Amino acid sequence: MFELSTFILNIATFYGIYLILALSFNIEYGYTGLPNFGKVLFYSIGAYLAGGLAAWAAITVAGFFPEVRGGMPAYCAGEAYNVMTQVAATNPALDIGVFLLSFVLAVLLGALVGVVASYPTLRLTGDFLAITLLALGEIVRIAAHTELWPVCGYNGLSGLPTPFEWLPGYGPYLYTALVLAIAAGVYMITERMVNSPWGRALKAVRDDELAALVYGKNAAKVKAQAMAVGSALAALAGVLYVFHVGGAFADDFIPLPTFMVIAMVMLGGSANNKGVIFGTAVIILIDQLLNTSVVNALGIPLPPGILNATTYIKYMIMGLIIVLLLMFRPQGILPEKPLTTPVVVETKRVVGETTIQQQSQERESAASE
Amino acid sequence: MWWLVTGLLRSVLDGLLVGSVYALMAIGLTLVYRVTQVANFAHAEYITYGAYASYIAMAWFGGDLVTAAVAGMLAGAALSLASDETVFKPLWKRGATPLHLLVASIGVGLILRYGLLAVAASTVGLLKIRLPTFPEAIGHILGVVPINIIHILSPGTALVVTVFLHLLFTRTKLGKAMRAMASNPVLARISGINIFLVRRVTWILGGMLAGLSGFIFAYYTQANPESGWIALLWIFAAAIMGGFTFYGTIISGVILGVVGQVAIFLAAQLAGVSTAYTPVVALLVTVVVLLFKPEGVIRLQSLALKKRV
Repeated sequence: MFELSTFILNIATFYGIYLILALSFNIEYGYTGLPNFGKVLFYSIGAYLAGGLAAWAAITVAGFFPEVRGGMPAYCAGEAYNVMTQVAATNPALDIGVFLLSFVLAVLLGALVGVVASYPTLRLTGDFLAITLLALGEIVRIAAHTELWPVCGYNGLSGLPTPFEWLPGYGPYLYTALVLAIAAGVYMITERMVNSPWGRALKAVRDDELAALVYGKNAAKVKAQAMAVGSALAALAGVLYVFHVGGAFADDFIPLPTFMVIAMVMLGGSANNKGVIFGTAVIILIDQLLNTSVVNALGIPLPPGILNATTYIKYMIMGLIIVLLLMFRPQGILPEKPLTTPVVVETKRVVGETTIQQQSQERESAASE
Repeated sequence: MWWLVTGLLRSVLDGLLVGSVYALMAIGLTLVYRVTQVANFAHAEYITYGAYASYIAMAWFGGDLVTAAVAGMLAGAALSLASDETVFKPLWKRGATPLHLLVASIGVGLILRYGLLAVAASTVGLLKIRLPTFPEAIGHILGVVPINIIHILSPGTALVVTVFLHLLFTRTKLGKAMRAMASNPVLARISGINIFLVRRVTWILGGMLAGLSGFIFAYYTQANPESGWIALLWIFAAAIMGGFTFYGTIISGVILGVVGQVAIFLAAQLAGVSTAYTPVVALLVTVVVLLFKPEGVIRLQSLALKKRV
């Protein structure tokens, strides 16, 4: 069944989730120059945390403890699906509480793992750093795919309590609004961060690490902070994803989402958050519109051969976008703008008259008066 | 204990088989990386296309094994050269960094892989392929461990290719020019080496080796449009472990193949670890080597190479 409202809500929700991911990648890659091609690792951490926590909480509240067979978590049992969906439909406190708790824990865990994962950035740069982080992400995915803990291995978890499940009808609308609001909040916070002294330190480390060190910036610390912020945001996106689809599957976290995020940031313009808003919109539209079911529902006549292959053609288009951008517009549609925070403006204004130090002294004396 | 001995023997034999295929796959990557600085993720797709070309040559046009191997090599070489001429060379002329080249190769890989998937999804019988001729069993070691013609063919091919490339690098002007470009492209150009020609030959050679390994892959097991992409992590692990040196890559590929098979056999039999963890061996090698010895573990530049520079 194809419903237009569900379809639009789906696009909007994925837009919000991927906007958060792309903004976090932009902090790391665009502003700090760290090619975090293991983006999906941090995204999946949030998802596994939220998935495991929500399932555990739901069956605990329901009082459902089947005999644990062979160390399998109780929520992986076949009967757990019905138990979880029943308790979720009638228990608003559980639904919202689990969401809030996952939200907070995922941000903390993401930041922690980000700091740990910033260790390779001290030793490696460029292509080798990218390969290392990509490999780390795959290791985590294979482990989650094979082990029953935390998300039931290759079967995955479904039927999780989503935050507005107790509100049939309005729930999906509320959740989409919530995701978009969180994405907007993340956008505003990242804009403030990258236009602060800290953001300038990121760019300094990216452009010339040695010079940044000479000016007293602790490059290692700055990189670790960028990774922590980026990873916390990615984990948050993972939580939002799990509560949108109501399930967690290890095989969603193959490297493809990372490549989509790379395409978004490069298309919009790296180190330009407005560009990322635009780039995410384009890639998400391609991703969501080019599906066999959507093409069918919209009644677009296509020969069956092409119709079956729409999903693959979608990824071909993304690859083509990456290649064409690198060749013809590596800075993206909206290129990075020079900094226009007040410090720069002041130095322009006072050329030939007073130095910055004098100005700031004047400002301080004015403030004290 | 008998089952342990035979199981280990089988793992070592299979390890030598897959290891030599990984080595063949990885030589091309190393060559291209050394000469042109492209950490080429699309290398995996040349392997897949090679496998498909040899399948089509045999199953649709009724060729024999030699035709299939040649078809695979031609397909790999053509794709490899085409992707350099259309993407990597223009980017290199514009001064792209190695990271940009890597991202571009991911893009090229996406186009090739999903292009093949799109075709395979809408054509009957192309989603999973295997050459119509199966390798024959020769006999059994110790009465139980089966040995197959592929167990000899694959390491043999790797050996022949190694000797051929060794002679190319040490005895010919072209090989010397390739080494010169690998160590210093600017100096190579000043010395009058036609770096564009060298570049082209390198990509063709890399693509041919990828196509050849794709043929061997489809000969001994089932291939699908994502086979190359899945093998890619072993290829990168071998190249990184060998520090992107020619002999280091080959030896690392074989070692990785054997260690991967033996380690997973032992872990599965003695500790009950799932065999799904096999790829983790390659991923862990990649991460650990890059973190603690990024210049590579087995860096082998043969003395002959050094003397003749």
